[in-house]
Amino acid sequence: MRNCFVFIFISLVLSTVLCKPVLADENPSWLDGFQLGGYSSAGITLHRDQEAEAAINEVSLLLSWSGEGRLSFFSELELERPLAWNDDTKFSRKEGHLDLERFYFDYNLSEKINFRAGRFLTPNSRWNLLHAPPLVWTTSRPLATTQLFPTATNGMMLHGAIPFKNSAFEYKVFGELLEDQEQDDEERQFEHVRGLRLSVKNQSDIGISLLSFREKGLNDTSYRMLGLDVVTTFKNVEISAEAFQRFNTNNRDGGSGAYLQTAVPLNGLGFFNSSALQDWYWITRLETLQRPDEGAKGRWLVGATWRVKPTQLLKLEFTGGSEGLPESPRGFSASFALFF
Amino acid sequence: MPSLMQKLWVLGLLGCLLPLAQAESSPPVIAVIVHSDELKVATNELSLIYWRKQLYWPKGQRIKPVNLRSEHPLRQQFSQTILGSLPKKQIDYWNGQYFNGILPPYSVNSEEAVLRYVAQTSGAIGYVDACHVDSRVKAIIWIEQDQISTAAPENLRCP
Repeated sequence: MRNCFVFIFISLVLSTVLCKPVLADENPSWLDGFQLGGYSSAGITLHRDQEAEAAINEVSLLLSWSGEGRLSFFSELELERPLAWNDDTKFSRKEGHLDLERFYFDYNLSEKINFRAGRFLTPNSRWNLLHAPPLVWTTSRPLATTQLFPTATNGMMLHGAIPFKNSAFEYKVFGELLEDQEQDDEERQFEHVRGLRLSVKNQSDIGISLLSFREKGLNDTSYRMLGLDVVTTFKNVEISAEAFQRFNTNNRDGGSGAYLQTAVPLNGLGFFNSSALQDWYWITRLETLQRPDEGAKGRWLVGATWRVKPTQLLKLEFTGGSEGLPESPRGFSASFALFF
Repeated sequence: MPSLMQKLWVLGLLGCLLPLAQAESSPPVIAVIVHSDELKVATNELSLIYWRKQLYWPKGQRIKPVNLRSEHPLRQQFSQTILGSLPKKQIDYWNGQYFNGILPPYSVNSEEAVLRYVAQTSGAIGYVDACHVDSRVKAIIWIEQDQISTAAPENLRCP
């Protein structure tokens, strides 16, 4: 509850400071460099094995600043599940908590080299880098993008882009300097994170990443991980896929995971030519996950997503597959997500 | 029955009008303009600037790219040639950039607005029809069909 008040207070202060009229000004003040935005999503899940539940999943504020110089700043403050409901507890705000998802400074060293320090999303997976609900076709997230590697890192990064045909070849080299000070019991814990990501943005977006880290837990094992991701469009069908393979210090299999997803525009199919189906997409996804000593597990998903506006998505989906994955419930989900 | 002279006259008229028709159908030459002589851009860096992957000039000044509105024919031509896609195909990309705190280039309605923005904004870069460039700005790159060059076209025909 206290967190909720803090969040509302911060929002009000920021709105008062930042929501100023846009005026031409030859000598802009440093306050003019601030940008405030955010996103939110809410949904309902009818679990196959548990009680039905509904929730505002998150309200995230994106605050950035860039002045006339080489320094810039970005942060994402998230209020997770500020309001939830299920058959047992009815409405509840007990699950709500604040989370500083990202907080970093960027300093431009040269045209091709930038230095980043702070907390950032671990750049080894396309989904992880673009995981906001208004950016992804489905309510649920592929298991492989949450169960195999740290999703955020506190440390430093060098990053930049080099021209490549009509687009960019990008690199990111990073390392952890500080472990998470607050441990979330529901998330897997990692330390000593170091890695590299190379990606090309062209007709297809292709990325390759290398990561090394230690997973805290029963065995405190160190791993190296290779990741590949691609998203492309073929005859208006968006096809995206990611695959991860971990190796332990003995170069043995340390777990793996992958997903393949397609988004087919419904009005592009011959038998669905209707303006009512404009901006509806049929979504299909297959997933696999294998963690050490846990055996292979799978998920399938089918659904439909409506792009209500360029910044708003309505998602309906059925998920099925292996048992025993509480982080990816089986059943029906519906959600609405938007940028603001 | 038309006489030989009449046929030759018609052929001659067609011969004169054909180049005009071709000139009308060919897209205009686009000039990329900057705020001052000090700002240099390699042709292959234009896409990085307009994808907002490169945010700074070599001396550390912030790059401030400006676009025409997405329906403007010159914007469509620039976007297709330099970025390889039309603006409406770039929505997902800009939503992703927004998630990371990066906004798309500032957008204005007219070429005159581009000229004024570039002329009055330090670090600005924009583009207009090469025939509309004036002394307020500096043209550094020319885009003619799919050809991108740092040399001004020799036979630029302006009405």
